[in-house]
Parts: sequence; structure tokens; C-alpha cells
Amino acid sequence: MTQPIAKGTVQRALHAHAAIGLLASALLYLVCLTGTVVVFYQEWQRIEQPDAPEMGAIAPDAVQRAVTAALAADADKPPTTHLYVHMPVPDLPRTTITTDHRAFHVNSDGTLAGPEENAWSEFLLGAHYALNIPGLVGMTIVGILGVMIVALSLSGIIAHPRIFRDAFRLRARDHQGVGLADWHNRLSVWTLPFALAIALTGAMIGLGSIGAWGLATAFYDGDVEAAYAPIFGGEAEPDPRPAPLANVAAPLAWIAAQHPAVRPTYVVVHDPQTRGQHVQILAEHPQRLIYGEAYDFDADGRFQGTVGLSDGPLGRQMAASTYNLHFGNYGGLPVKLAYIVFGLALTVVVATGTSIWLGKRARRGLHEPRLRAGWDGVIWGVPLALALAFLARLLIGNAAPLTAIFWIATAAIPAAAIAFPARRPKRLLQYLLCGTLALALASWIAL
Amino acid sequence: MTAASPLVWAGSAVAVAGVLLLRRAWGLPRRSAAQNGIAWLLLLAGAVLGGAGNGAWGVSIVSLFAMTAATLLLAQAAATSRPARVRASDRKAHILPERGEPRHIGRRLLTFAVTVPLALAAALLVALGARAAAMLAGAAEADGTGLALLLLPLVWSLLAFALLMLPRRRDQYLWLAVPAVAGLGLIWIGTAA
Repeated sequence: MTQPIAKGTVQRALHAHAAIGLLASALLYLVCLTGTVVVFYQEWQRIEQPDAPEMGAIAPDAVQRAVTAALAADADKPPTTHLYVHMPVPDLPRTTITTDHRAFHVNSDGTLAGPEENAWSEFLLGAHYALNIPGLVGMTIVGILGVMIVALSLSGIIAHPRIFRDAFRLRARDHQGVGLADWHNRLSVWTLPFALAIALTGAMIGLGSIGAWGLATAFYDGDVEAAYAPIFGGEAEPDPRPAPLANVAAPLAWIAAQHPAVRPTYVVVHDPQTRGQHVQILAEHPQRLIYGEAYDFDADGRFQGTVGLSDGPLGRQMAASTYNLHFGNYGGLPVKLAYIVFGLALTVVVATGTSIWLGKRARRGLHEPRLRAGWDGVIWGVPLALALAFLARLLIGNAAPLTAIFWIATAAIPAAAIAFPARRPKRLLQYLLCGTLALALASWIAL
Repeated sequence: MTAASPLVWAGSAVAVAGVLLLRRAWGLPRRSAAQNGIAWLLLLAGAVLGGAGNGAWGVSIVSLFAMTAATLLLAQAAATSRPARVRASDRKAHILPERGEPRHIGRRLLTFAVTVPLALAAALLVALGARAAAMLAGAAEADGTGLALLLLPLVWSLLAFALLMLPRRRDQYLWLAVPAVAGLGLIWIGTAA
């Protein structure tokens, strides 16, 4: 029987696959795992602060009162440049106002209910989005990891010529590495469309700053805002002279009357209480991948036009679709559950990749207990560090240093495993993970 | 999801049928080109129906149904399979040196430089060149920008993989230089026009 792909090509593809995978396996694993957990970003917020006021909808006049109250509460602080009102949606039926300084929950009558406390959800999003590194560096690193997943998917297919033919053959129990290899290959085949979609959209988001910098340098005299403007629309000229607060209620009423099928998700007041202020309403369109359409209004609440995310040029619609496609929030709970399952599968694929490589070396007589223990420390240490951070959030409160707890544990657990490799730490870490999760569950129920 | 077009539901059903037929075709003792072909056509038809019903959203929903069906079949295979009697492949990936082999640190660092920063630079030039070409061809500015933002990670992934597949360093430099120079030329033409 003739080989569909030349043997030399297969061997080089295997080399490429292993080289890319091993280069960043720990970070890839961390990003895949946090990405899976953060699919429930909205639900985590409800778990974190279960007593925040919830509502199916809020009246436009109540939103106007809430915006006025939020700005009044910040009167002793520097003026807010962008004020966001999160509107109640089925997955997060809460109204929340975020100024440049803080965030408030809002009661359905428009009074301020209290501070928003979602440090865990924000930490989780930051860990996935940018490895909690401030600025654009972390996002760019995560974007590079997305590029690596695309390259790993391609090299994996070439390196395993029978991968499609064997796609339904899964010998689950491990024997001399067969089970691990089967889990790795089968899950990677069947999550291939998901992995490619997630990796490419993640890379587009993460590398957006490099792309925009390139576009600005080549075509817009270095103006990055101008480079983004064809996609997201430009910022209006600010006029800092004081003015009464813009009419926020009228745009919401206009949307409800003119576009009853769309659902407002955010109200953005640009440069509030200045003459340059204007209002933008972001509204979800049903059965679309775009994160929404931006409807622009002047300070008096008169409709000015849309950015064209829903019906503009294809490039704009595509760019606006990357976020929902990446985070899985375009079809309610069923799509989120599917993203959890496939995200977990992708995490398992990454984890088993390095384990397979270590297993092959061990079967060839190259026993590396420190490497093996270190990889155990990554596979079980990262979820343990996440569970510890969540437990700290529940026990210490919103001010708990979650980023420090997570990253110290994430670094210390593999380091300790490498330092004391005599016994594989896998079982101990599994027990600790289960114990921490049980403790977190008990704490949450008790709160 | 309940308000999805009936075409999306039909497409999902057709795609699930495609996965089931693939399961059957790949389980046969001899390869059946006809069954394989029909199965892939069903998957394609499912995606087309999803797209016709609700555009990109519909295609996404159909593909989630197909992947879920495959996952359930895999779960069934995992639950019923017997432990393997053979050993897994021990093919060498040649990533770390075996005992006594030289480490080639310099060569490895150069490979990293070629596939990461240099390939990124080449991909960026290709993406910007494509944007310039699109604008010359009369595309909307948003299309050109969207194309550049899409091509940057895509071209980098393809280039990094292709470079690692090339056994000779000289070929790697050539594969970097040709798209980079082409992209640079298009940018120059685009900005001069």
C-alpha cells in the first residue's frame, strides 16, 4: 500500500509538532484551561456576588437616574471619560454602571445598590486574556499561543497520516502509551474545527495591537486609532466645556421602538457632562456572531447612525464576530456547555501531548524524573492554583490578592515537584485539588 | 437558539448524519470511497444549510452539532474499548538530544529566530501587502483592514509550520524573503498610488 504522505515529510512534521508543542506547552495548557473556565464569565459573577439586584429589564428613565447618581457619587474624582452601563441580559440579568474609577450595581428603580465585586471573574478573564500582565505584552503573548495552536493543528495532521482513518478508535485505558496517544489524537481530530476557530480568533484578538501598529505605520502616519477606525468607528472630537448630562433614556426608548428585535447590552456615554458628550448603545442582534451593533446618538438623544458592524463591509462584520466566536457567548447555555466540553478536550490534548513525548523517552530508557514531576506539577498545579485563588476569593473577599496567589502557586508547585522528584506528585496534587474544590464548594454554600 | 432558522436545524441533522456515516465508513474492513465521499458531502451540505439559514452563526451551530455527535461516538468507543495489546509508537521527535548527542544550542536558537520573530515580520509584511493590494483593487477600507488583521496570524502559522518542514537553512531564508519582499513591494505600490 502506498503511503499517502512521504515518510520524510511525516518525520519532519512530527519534529515540527513536538518542537512547537514543547516550546510553550505549560503556557498553552494554562491558556486553554483558563479559557475553558472563563466561558462561564457571566455565571461566575453571579456566583461571586449572589445578592446583587437582578432584573429582567430596566426602564430607560431608571437608567438615566442611575447614570446621574453614579456621576454624582464620583464628583470628587477626576471626570470620567467613558461611562458604561451594562444592561440586564438573560445570562447576567443585572444593571451595572462602570465609571473610570469604580463600578456600581443598580436597582431596578435606578438607585445605586452597592459596589460591584467580581474580582475572581476579572482575574480569570485577565489570566486568559493576558496572563495577568498589564498592557499589551500579555495579550500579544496569548496571541502568539493562538498562532502556535494553528501550527500545531496543521503539523499534527501531517505527522499522523492515519489520524482521520482512526478517528473513531479510542482505547481509553492506557497501556504502554496507547491510551494517551489515542486520547490526544482522537480529541484533536474531532475538536479540529473548534481548535482552529478558537486559536485563529484568539490570535487575531491577541495580535491585534501588532497588526494595528503595522497598519498605522504603513498607511496612517503612525495613528493607531485611525487604523482601527474603519472597523470600530472613530472617536468624536472631545469638547471639555461643561454641559448637562446627555439624554440616555431617549436612545434606549428609540431602540425599543425602532428595533424591538435587538437587545441593548451596553450604553456608553463618551465624555459625560461635557459639550463633546455623545451616547452609544451596543445592541445584540439575534442569530448573529457579531458582538453587537453600535447605535450612535447625540447628547439630546437623537439617532445619528450606526457603525455598521451588522450590515457594513464584510471585513468589519468579520472583525466584530471574532469575540463571540472565541468566547462562545452566541447561543446561550447550550453553546456555552459545548465550549466547556471542547475547551476541556483541547486542554487534554495539550496536556497529553507533552506526556506522550515524556512517555516515549521513558520507553527508550531515558528516564527524566524531574521533567516528569515538573509536568505533573503543571497539569495538576495550574487547576489547584485556580482553585486556591477561588477559595481565597470566597474566604478573604473581593480584596484577596488573587493574581499573586495564582501565579505564586502556579510557579511554586512545579518548582517543588522538580526539586523533589523522588515520588511523582500527581496523586498528591489530585487529592489537594479535590480537597480545595470541596472546601470552596462548602464555603460558597455557607456564605 | 430556539429562534434559529429551520435550515439550521436541518443542516445540523444532515451534519450529524454525515458524522454517523463517517463512523460507519471508517469502520469497514476495506475503504469505501463512495461512503466516505457521501459522508463528507453531508457535512458540507450541513454547513451550507446552516449558512443559508443564519449565515456564519448558522455554520457555527451546525459545526457544534457535528462535533458533539462525534464526541458522543468517541465516548461510546472509550467506554467499550479493550486495553490495547500493542505498545504506542516510539517514533523519535528529535527535540532533545539523546545521551551523548551534541546539544546544537546555536542551531536551535537560530530556528527559533527564523520561525518566531522573522516569520512574524514576514507575515506582517504579507498582511499589510494584502491590504494594499485589496485597496488598489477597490475594496472598502474596512475589508482591507479586516483582511490584514486576519492574515497576520494565519500567514504566521502557515509560515512557521512550513519553515520547520524545510530541512535546509537556505530554503528557510528563501521562504521568508519571498513573501516579505512581495509584501513590501505591494505596500510601496499601495502607498505611492
